[in-house]
Amino acid sequence: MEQMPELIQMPGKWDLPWVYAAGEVGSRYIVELRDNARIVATKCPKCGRVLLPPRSFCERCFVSLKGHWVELEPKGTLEAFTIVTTVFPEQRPPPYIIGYFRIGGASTNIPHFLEGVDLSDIERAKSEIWVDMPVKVIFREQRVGSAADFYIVPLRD
Amino acid sequence: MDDKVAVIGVSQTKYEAAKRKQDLYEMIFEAASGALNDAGIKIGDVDSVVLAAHDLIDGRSITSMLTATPAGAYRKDEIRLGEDGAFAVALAWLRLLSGEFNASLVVSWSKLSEGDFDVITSLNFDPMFYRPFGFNYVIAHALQAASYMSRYGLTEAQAARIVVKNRAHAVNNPLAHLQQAVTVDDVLRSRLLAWPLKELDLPPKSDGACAIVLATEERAKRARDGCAWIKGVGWANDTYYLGDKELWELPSLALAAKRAYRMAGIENPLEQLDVAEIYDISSFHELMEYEALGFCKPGESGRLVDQGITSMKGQLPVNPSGGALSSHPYTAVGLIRVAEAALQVMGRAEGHQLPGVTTALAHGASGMCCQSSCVVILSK
Amino acid sequence: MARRVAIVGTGQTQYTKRRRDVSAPELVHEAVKRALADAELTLNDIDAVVFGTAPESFEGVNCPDKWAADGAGGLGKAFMRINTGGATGGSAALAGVHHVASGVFDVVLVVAMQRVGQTPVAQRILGLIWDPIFASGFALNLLTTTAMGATASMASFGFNEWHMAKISVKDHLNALNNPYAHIRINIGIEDVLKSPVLCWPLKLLDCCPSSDGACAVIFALEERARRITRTPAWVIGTGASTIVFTPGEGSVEEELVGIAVRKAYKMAGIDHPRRQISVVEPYAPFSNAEIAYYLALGFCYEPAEATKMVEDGFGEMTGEIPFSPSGGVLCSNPIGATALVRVAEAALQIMGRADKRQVPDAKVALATGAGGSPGPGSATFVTAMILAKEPG
Repeated sequence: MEQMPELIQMPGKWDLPWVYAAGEVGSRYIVELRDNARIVATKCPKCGRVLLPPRSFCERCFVSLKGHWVELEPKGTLEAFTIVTTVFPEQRPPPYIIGYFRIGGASTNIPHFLEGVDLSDIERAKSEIWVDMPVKVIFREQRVGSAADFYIVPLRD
Repeated sequence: MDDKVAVIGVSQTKYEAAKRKQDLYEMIFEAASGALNDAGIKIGDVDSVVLAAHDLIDGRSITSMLTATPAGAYRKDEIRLGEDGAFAVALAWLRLLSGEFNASLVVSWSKLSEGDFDVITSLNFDPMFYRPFGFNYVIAHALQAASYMSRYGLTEAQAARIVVKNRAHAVNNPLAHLQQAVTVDDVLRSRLLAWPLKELDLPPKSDGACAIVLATEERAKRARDGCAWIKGVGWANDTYYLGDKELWELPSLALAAKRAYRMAGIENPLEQLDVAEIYDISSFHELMEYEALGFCKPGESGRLVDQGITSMKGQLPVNPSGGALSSHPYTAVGLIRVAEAALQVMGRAEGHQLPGVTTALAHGASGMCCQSSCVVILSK
Repeated sequence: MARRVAIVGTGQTQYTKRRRDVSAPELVHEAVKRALADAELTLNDIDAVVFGTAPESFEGVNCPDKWAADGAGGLGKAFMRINTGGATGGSAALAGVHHVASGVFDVVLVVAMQRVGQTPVAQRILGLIWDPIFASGFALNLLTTTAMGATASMASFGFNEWHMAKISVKDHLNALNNPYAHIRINIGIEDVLKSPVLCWPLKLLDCCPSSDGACAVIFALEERARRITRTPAWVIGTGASTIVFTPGEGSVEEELVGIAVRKAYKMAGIDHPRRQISVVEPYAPFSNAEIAYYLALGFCYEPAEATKMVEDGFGEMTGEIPFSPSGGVLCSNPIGATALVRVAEAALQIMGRADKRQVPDAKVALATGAGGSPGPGSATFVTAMILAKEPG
């Protein structure tokens, strides 16, 4: 009787550090959030699209957007969402809502969490969130220079 | 080749240790839009985009998700290779020859300042049989260099002369990362990393991007600043395991060159080539490459550098741009060689232009120890 | 394209959670050996190799193609590695076509491999594909992003979880006919609706598995193809496209597939797709994707129609145009290879070699690939290839 060969399974781990350059344009976005509680974006002089987070070029017109800044109003709409109910490694404990938001009339949507919704009854919560729902941006008291220096809640009358 | 494809535009960013003012995307956009301007065309004139980029070098799990559009890929037929940039030229060339496309951007880059190159390259090695011994690109290339030295009796001083040559060339290249000349003594006394490789025997770690525009004959003939025709392309892959081959030779390069030479009608490279831009991943590797490229017989590469045959005034200048030993945004190196070779053919290499260039060779390499090589022959 | 290209052989490994018994070169070797046997060729007949594999973080080896190359017959050959995320296999197939159509190579081997099972943290890895400065920390991963796309689509198409479940059931039952499929379970709609909710509206059975596997496809120039096999699968249309959008701005399928597929249709002379396509192997890793494909591929003109088509069983094996007779991506997802598997399965349909999953008299097959994911400044890639019994 032939024995099953032993199959060696060798463990390995990658420990890779990174230091990403935000560039001048990305840095201005972050600094304005942190120091002035303002949301700034870049606007393409050719097609008029407003890009949030701001980019240094328009990928469609293929022109530079440096210097073409606009400030956006801290409110908008929910464009897409999901309610996360499962545990993902290194993410916050569920349940929570992630969505894409159109802020200040930008032409692109940004990812963010939707706070301020009672998730103790998920079925009920589903009926309180919908695509196109109005939302507002609230800046945190302590800002550290991160895309998460503000949070987003439903805009209720 | 009856069908013709040419380089009609070239752009390179300045190569630097750390380009902090630009994020990765802006740096890529600079090169890609620069190449379009150089070619005198607009993004709408391009119907193919071919990229060369590595996820781990860029620190983004699928880097082209984030880097394709600054490279001009929005709504384009775009494809990305996980290879050195010269291979992207090869694929773009095939795409144009197929008749499906008319003009292709080819873009490649690296920002080595954002990650740890030594650690990343250590991950290229087989986890079971090589990683326990801590291989990375320095050590692997040192093994090859030592093996080559011992086989043919070449000296560290001869290798140092390659460094002196290339660094001297870079003094005339305002885009180069390292622009100061060095002496043989500087090289021999630089910090020993893994014998026989000293710090100056290896390229620096650079940030930078390069882009070229390839076009088919109809468009190339209308090119504003002339063009450089692709006469031959060859690429080949060798075995992965270092222990499965003789480390003192580069068979993939010999095979790639053979294929490119045959296509371009080159039987005597030393005579028929006017200039060569090759991937000097170490000083010793440039010497090994002379052999694989048929510039000399095995073991005779030292003579080429000792007699100045590959210097600016020699019979076949190699790396007038300064090579990788002067600018090393890793993934892009082979594309930069093609760009520089094209500039030489077009007479636009300015401060490091050689007189009377008709035919140039460019070389890029992928994998550790030049496992895979690509050779492109360009001419007027 | 001036020169005609055809597929003359394919090979696949059985997709599974984790292949504990092979290294990367050995896994690839299985698929390549099978493809060579299928075409009755040897490595000597192969002029070049195109190798596809997606994020190396799964493999745990940087540039794993260099490692696997020996097993893929890459020794001494012109060899290049393609990486376009999930579209990798499709992009590699297109590159293979261009290698042959260029006139430089006559017979080209395209191989794609992924060993998602080498890592226990696949989802975490996939969470690192978005912009590190603007999108990290927001729990973006393929599940959450797809879920957001699904909610946006549900709003515009009008479908609900029941429709998604119907697609899932179809794919799982089809997989029972496919000896290579990873997930082979007999399920019903209730099973899908009751499966654990991961990110609403996605439940476990709405989602693809993580699979290890490899696939190989051999392309040849017309004269060679005709000598190699009596039933070549002719490449009559190809297309690829890269686009940027965030969920809520549009659906992947509509925006993106539309462009690449339209180009392929034009090349193939297809102006009434619903009448001219026999079978589709779409890149659909989640059950909601197929619904949007009905619209994006031009099989209907209004989103609401697509929803109705699900109810009518449009994509079933007995339906008007079978989708995923192999069980699709929903039942096997060796990421970098998946889009090439779509091409291989489409080729098997055309060559009449699809055994129990054969669509009778399949004349024209469409295979799509998709990679990347929507997000800030983030591109999605789509590939399309149309194969036919006649060269056209």
